[in-house]
Amino acid sequence: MSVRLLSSDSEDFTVAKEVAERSMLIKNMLEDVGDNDNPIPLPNVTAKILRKVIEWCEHHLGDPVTNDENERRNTEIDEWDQKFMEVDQETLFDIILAANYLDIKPLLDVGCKTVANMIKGKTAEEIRKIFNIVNDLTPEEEAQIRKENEWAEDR
Amino acid sequence: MSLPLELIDVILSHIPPRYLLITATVSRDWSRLSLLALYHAIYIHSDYQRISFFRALDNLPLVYCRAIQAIYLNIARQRVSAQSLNDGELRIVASKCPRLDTIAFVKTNESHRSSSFATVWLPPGYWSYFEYSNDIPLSMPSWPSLKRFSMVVYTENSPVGVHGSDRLTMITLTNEQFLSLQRPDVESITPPICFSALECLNLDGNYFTYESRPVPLSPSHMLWLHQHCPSLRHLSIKNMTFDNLGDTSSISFPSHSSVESLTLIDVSVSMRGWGWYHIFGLLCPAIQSLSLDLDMDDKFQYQQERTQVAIVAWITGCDSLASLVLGRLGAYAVSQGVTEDLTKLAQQGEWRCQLKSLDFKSVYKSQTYPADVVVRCSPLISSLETLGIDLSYTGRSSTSPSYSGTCHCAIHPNHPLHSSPAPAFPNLTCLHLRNSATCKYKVLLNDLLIACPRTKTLVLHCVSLQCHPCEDHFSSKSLPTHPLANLTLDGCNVDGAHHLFQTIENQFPRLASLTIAYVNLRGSQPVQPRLNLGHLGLKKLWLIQIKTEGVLCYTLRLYELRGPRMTLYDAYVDGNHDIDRPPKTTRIEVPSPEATSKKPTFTNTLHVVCKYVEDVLFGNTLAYLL
Repeated sequence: MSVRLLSSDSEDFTVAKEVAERSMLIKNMLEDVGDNDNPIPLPNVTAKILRKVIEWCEHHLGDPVTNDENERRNTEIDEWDQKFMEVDQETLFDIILAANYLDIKPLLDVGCKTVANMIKGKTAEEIRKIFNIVNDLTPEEEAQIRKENEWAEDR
Repeated sequence: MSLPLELIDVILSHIPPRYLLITATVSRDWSRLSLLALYHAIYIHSDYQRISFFRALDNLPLVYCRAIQAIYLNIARQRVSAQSLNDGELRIVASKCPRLDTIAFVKTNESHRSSSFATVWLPPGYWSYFEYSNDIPLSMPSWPSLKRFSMVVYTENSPVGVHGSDRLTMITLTNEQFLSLQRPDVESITPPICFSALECLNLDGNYFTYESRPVPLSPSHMLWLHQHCPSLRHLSIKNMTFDNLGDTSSISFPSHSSVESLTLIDVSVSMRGWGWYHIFGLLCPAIQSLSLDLDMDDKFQYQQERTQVAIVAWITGCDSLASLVLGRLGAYAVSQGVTEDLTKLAQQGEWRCQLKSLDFKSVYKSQTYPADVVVRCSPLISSLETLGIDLSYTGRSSTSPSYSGTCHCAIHPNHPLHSSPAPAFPNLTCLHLRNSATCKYKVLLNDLLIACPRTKTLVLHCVSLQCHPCEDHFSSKSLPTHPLANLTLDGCNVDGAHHLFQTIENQFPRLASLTIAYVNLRGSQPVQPRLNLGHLGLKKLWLIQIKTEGVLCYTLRLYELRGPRMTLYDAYVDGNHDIDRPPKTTRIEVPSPEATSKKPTFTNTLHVVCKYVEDVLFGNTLAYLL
């Protein structure tokens, strides 16, 4: 049993149903429309990213589904996922956006953990560069935030 | 290129507290999200941090106060004292944090963990006698959202008039406090005291009074427990004595089947007390975990024999026993006899042993357990997942091991680790090897790894470890990579440090935690050792009091790889000053390790290359005893 998916740039992918159903969005859609040969349009995902997402879903096909928030949060990124996430930043962000859109929680978690690891140890200015953020805090506000929460500095 | 705020929120939930302080200064939106994540669960690692947190709480905006759900005080590093939360602080918390449902003292080596903790307890320094003179001392503060309670009662007064006793899940009582609960005048209080939610009870005879002799326990006390603590799962009795048994034939002992674990530490059983073991067996038929450390003196042989028979009958009679810890069992002969009987019965199939965990905590000065008998008993060993044992063989052989050929290793010729061709511990996932006395025999690292091919946690305590190859003893079998995840060397003498480092670098691709403490490294080449862990996903790296060739390492150079970049930290040990993570010394960006060679190097420096490690500790004090 296979499913056809159509990327935003109109590339047609045929994947096994259980692979596609790692995405809660697609799973729900399939339940709604029933058996049907029409491709499912995914207007928010390009072919390049969809290929990556399918690759991930195929590798993690046998994974048990865990709903335990703590367990999901605390498990480490495994080796395969680490390799998988070794992509340029734009692709990484696109994968996260796609995982969010397609509602694939474990992939979203892996992506977010990867970004979290990028952030650790960076300065605020470096983080702004990564995320393309303009600093809208005044120096006084910044100083105040630092002062009010300085207890969190581990010492 | 950016991400929507809802995803930034998810990302921030994976970031440790001290970095949230940095992300909070990125922008206004990031500030709000970071601080909400920061205040969701508070982790406090030192008294200093505790004080500054409470100072901050005073002026904290309501939105962040409402975010606080849990406060964890970490006592693992002994920089938070267990009695440190005071009355005033608790009141502030109770009034300012409406959603708080957990306050707990925890032991964790991680700086940031969101899962629930196994050990959760509150010390009751704040329920002091003088403040609550009518409700001493267990009245709870009004705290509707708090779900988990546990406490140690630090008072010499008896917990008369226990209010809220039915909500307690864990309590520690002294001998006198425990006995006072059973006084007629206390028993007649209405509503009657009932620890209906209590799961964990610790009785400690020496909690305050180090001089007075605790009143011995009698069977009726045990029956009281059965009646008043219906949900009790963990019972621990420390520093107490069990009374002379009179005629118990008229007493019927109901089974307290909720009890899963029984721990007796430093407990003495009176003369002719062997009947107690039978009573324990009747009272707690469903125990899964048993820990025995009996301090008593059976002088006569017939006493020792009857004690031995009774203990063996008790242990083999526990059908669901999965974990057994054997410390002292009175006289050495009893310990030895029980161990030998148990292995014999397991070997003959008369004891259908289901043990997953077995630990020998032998503390006899000149004698050790017959460890080789245990190790060679395959019915006992094959199902084990955790084993703690002393394989030092001190006192068993005074003759020097035979030397042959070019070999200079001192290895016991019949040591089970080295003599058997098949893995000695095929299913073991956790091995604690200790050496309680000075022992001239060494353990070969390679043989140890072959002996336990599935071990994920290996703790070597005071072991002489030999890592370099020797023609006679180094097995020619080439080692596949080993699944070890946690390695701890504590108080060990290491020969062939160079080879130890190579093994750590090459054999353990899954290594997540490495602790080397009070270790003397010999034979490292070059003399200033470099440990290259750059390819490992290490989470914890603790290096404490490391000596190379007998000289203390005063400096740690930590090369932290982050993609193509590398950050260099230097940490120094001077006197009692600890350097905690991240080292509060100069942070220098360097392109490669070679470029740093021009900088002055200090005598005896340990060089470590690694990826980002969450928990790095380089210190020099006993405060970090394992």
